[in-house]
Amino acid sequence: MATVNHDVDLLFNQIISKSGYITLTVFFLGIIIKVVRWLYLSEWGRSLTGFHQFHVSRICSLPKNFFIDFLIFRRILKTSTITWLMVVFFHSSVLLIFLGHLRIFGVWSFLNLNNYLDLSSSTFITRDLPAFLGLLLMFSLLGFIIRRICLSEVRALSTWRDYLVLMILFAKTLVGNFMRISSYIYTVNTSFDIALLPGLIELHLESIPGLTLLYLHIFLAEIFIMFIPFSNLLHIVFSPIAYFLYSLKYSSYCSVSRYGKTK
Amino acid sequence: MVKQNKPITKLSRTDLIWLETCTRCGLCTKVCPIYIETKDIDFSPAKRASLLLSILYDFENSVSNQLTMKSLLKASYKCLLCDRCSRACPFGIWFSDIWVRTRALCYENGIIPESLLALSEALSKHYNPYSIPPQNRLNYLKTAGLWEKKLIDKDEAEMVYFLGCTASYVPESQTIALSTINILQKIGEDFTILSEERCCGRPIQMLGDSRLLKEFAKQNVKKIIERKAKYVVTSCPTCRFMLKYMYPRILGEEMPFRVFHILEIINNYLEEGKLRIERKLRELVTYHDPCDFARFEEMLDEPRHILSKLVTKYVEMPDNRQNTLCCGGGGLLEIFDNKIRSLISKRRIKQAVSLGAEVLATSCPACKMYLYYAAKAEKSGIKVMDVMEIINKIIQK
Repeated sequence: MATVNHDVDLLFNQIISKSGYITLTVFFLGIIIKVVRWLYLSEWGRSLTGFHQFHVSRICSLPKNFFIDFLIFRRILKTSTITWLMVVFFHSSVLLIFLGHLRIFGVWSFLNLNNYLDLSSSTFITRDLPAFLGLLLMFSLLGFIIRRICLSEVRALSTWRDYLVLMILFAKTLVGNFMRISSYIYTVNTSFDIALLPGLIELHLESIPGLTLLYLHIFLAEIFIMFIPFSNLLHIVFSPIAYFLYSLKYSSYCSVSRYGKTK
Repeated sequence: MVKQNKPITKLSRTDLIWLETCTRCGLCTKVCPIYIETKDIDFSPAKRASLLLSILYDFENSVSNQLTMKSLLKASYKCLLCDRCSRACPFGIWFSDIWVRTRALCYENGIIPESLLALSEALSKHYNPYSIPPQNRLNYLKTAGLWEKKLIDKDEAEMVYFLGCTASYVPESQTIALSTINILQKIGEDFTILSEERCCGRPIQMLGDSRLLKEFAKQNVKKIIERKAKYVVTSCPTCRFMLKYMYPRILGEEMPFRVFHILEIINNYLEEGKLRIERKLRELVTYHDPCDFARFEEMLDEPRHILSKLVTKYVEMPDNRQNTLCCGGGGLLEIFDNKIRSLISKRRIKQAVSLGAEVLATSCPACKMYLYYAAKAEKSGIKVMDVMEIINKIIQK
């Protein structure tokens, strides 16, 4: 039985180490195809409502507005507080989980932090905080799914891709959380290395609760990345550009002039 | 729909980036005045954007598909261009800009709703969207006895008062022009009125006729320059927007004059003490922010500052400042679907009435006109007045 499991794991390992290339190829090809289509279908400065005059005061306020409107999601807050809470929880947990994941890619190491932290702090950072963030992410995703289904206008706007994106993300998070929470139930001290892109991206995991869950988690992550150019996930890449273009254009319309000062 | 034979060609790259970034989160839909009234998802900004994107990506097939073209036209024109959706969009997708461009592309390709052909003809023939012969434009000034005062077509003047079409042709808004003229005269401004003034071009831009737009802009600028005017004053936020921001773009050169809305000037008069308000209106007043002021030009404090000196009791509208609800008159919706337009105008009136307001003030002749009609239709009893009319009423007492 153990031999069979070992063989299956070996097979999965082989598949995972190849699928990384497929993922990146699909992702970059998707983005390139999109951009080429845009270039073919559009041109710069097409109309009379384009960029024209820029006003220094508004240009100067661009970073501030970018921070407030884009990073703090002020616009969402103005329209719906519940949606804003979901968006903030979702994005902040994604960011922190992403930073945490960099550890297994070898970008940073917890061993360096051990010099500065006591045991309880280190347990909190490596185990409790990620588990909490995982749950927060899962609940905010659940909120997004419920929102898409329950709000009539959002439901009417949604396509199958929008639901699929949320389902993939939810499944990925669920599997990730299983692995995370299992560390509370039993301790596994098996370290595990896996090459996503051999020689380029390699994972160094300190404890593996279950290889099947890990493979499933990686597989869903790869599906997610491949889906970015073909779904509303494209906003991950283009939303800063879109908002920047809006701000830049808006800055060409200026506020009130002082008539008296002209005389 | 007029027959088309060429494919929809090109939007700008900015438009495509905006369209692709849309996540269909529905926040734009929640605030869209047309969706609020109709609850029809086809009018949602995000839905219309998706439709546009699918047509663009499949435009060769769309050419022969009249049904798709019909829905594209519907998507382009069932919009107030009020920009409320863009303000709600977390990514700043500038929907109104995309639709103005789409309309222009449709027009260039001969796709134009039949209901808008009359408007196109009126603008070409009479230089205004109201289809009234231009020679009758200043008749009301004659009736008011202003003709004799030689205000019209002075050889030279420091300021040109650009009346705008609504304040020239619509009786309900002509009082705005008369009030403004009266106040400017009282102050002693050296100003003139152009007898051959043409539409500022915004309806033409909304229609998509860039050739006519350029012609109108050229003519208006020529007439203003002939008067050697340093300043152009408008009563209409849209005229200000066109003259100030669009004309340099359309004509490709900086204007040799500065453009102001009359409220900017009044604000200055009040600060300098040139205009003294010794009485105040006793009725409960509320203020409707025109879309151009609220979401493009950000003239939000000036009208309120002026009103604070004019009235004793003031209350804010439920949707105010940058979140203002369109009066219904934007985007040529009146011509395309007057029923929805009327519902939107009535909603605004109901909002004002719910506050117990006796006067609904605004600073746009078009907003005044549509809100006036809605107030009348609703038999609400609320008075719709432009801020200039309020000032004129107070100083004449």
